[in-house]
Amino acid sequence: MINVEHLQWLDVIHRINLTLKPGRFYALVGPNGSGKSSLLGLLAGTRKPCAGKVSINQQALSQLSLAQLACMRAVMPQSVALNFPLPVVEVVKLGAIHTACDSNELVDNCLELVGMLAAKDKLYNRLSGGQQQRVQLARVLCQLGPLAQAKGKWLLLDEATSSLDLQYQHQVFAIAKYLARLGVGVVSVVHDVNLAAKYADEVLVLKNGELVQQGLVENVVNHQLADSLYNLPAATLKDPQYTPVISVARQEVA
Amino acid sequence: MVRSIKFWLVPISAAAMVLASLVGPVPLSLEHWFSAIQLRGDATGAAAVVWQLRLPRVVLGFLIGGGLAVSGAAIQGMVRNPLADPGLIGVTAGAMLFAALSIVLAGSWPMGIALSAFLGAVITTYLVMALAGREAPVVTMILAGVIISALAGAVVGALNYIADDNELRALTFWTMGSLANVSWFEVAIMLPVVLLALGLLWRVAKSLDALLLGEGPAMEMGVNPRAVKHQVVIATALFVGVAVAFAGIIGFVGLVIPHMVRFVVGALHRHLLPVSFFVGGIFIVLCDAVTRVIAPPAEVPIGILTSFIGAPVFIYLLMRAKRHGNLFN
Repeated sequence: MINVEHLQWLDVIHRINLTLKPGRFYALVGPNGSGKSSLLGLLAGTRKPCAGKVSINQQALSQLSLAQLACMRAVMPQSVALNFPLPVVEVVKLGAIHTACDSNELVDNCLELVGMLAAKDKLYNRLSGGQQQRVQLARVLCQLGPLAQAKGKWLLLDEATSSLDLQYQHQVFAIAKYLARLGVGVVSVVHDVNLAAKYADEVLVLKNGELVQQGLVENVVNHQLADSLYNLPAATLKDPQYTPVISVARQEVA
Repeated sequence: MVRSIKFWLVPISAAAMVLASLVGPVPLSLEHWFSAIQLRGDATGAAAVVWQLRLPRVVLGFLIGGGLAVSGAAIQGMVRNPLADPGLIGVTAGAMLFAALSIVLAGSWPMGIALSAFLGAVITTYLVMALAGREAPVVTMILAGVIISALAGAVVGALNYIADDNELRALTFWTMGSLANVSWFEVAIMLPVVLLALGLLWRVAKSLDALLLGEGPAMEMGVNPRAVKHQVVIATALFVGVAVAFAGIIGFVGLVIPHMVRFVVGALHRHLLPVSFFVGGIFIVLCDAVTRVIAPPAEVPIGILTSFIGAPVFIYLLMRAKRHGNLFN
């Protein structure tokens, strides 16, 4: 469980209260500058709140060392560039630097899950942006450890699909959903609301640093969301088999 | 492959040190060298040349070269920039400035010079890091290095005016770098310093790997970047401070050697640090031997030779980086 109480950070995050449960997939949406990445950094413990408190499994983040935190949650950043020649397999192993669980089998499993096993001996800095992002996901999965032990841990994704093609956007979210079913709590910053709607259980809506809405996908994702967050005229399409889809009207430039 | 490289570096280092102790104004054959090495107490002839002049010099040269190369490797990893180097970012100049101040203001007491040089190296590294900020862009770091080197040059220039003949000679020696006139005393100070600094860096080798991905991801993986940086700064300042105190400014070793080594063993610090140490040591031992045979009986200061080798390599690296858009693509 992650508990957030009266969280305040500079003038970016304003008095947020929030309870997140393990085994659920939360999509964090909101316009640019709404504070999504900042909130994720506060949940990850890499940013210190100006006021309020974040606790993970009843322990305040401020009481935990970075090494202890590394064993409880893994964070995937938007992009990671490397100026040095490291093979893919070594980048993935770095995920386990503090969990002491970097068996070759685990590393191979993580790489296979993201479809990068064939590239394990290639140099990371020679991969495309999308491939690098998949390797980073493998590193983060490696940090979570073997799937059997991942229950109760947290996976925080910061626009993890920003450089990925359609296939891998869905694959990454499918992996996140799968982990959530295994008992991992997932929080993902996401811009594509329709993609979030397909995989997430709940949506957290952030605007101007405030949590303005929280609820199940079917209750939150609709055309009013596009209108209130992005000022875009939109319609909600009915997709009987899957989830709601927001269709934004074409914008004309005068 | 990395394991066999590490294995061969030990005998190659020993061979380089033996080779370097054969050459000089009085050349020795291998046979003479072996018989001299068995006469340790003998204060005359070949035994004195080997035991009192050549051996302390090659051992110190090896430790200094290794230390400078490892410093370069660690600083490059810490700031995620393959072009960082203690000389280039002004740390060496800072150490030299404090060493020079110590000579002129407090006399030529070797421990005093070594301590001041260490202090100068620590202060300069923190100054450069403060100026460059969290992301440590190379332009800012090198500009900071230029400023500190210029300031150190100006102060050393001013000290030249107030220095007497002996101090002037010592100051000139510092600015060009030389391994002449060293004894086992310097080795006895340098050896524990090198072991301590290597130990500090070995402890953070894995964390330095994590820092290659950036400070944010490193923190998320459980690494405290600040703690790692402090250890790297202290270790580097130990290496550079004592090296500058005993041998003056020997440039480009910290830039060129780790760079070359990275092409062969990759960027993981558990390989890069030890291999850089041995290769840097071998490089300086051989360079020092060359300085003794270029124009006998005179010696070319070793700093001049390493700059003649290092500067073109640096230019080549920059041209390569320009062509490929990245130093390692």
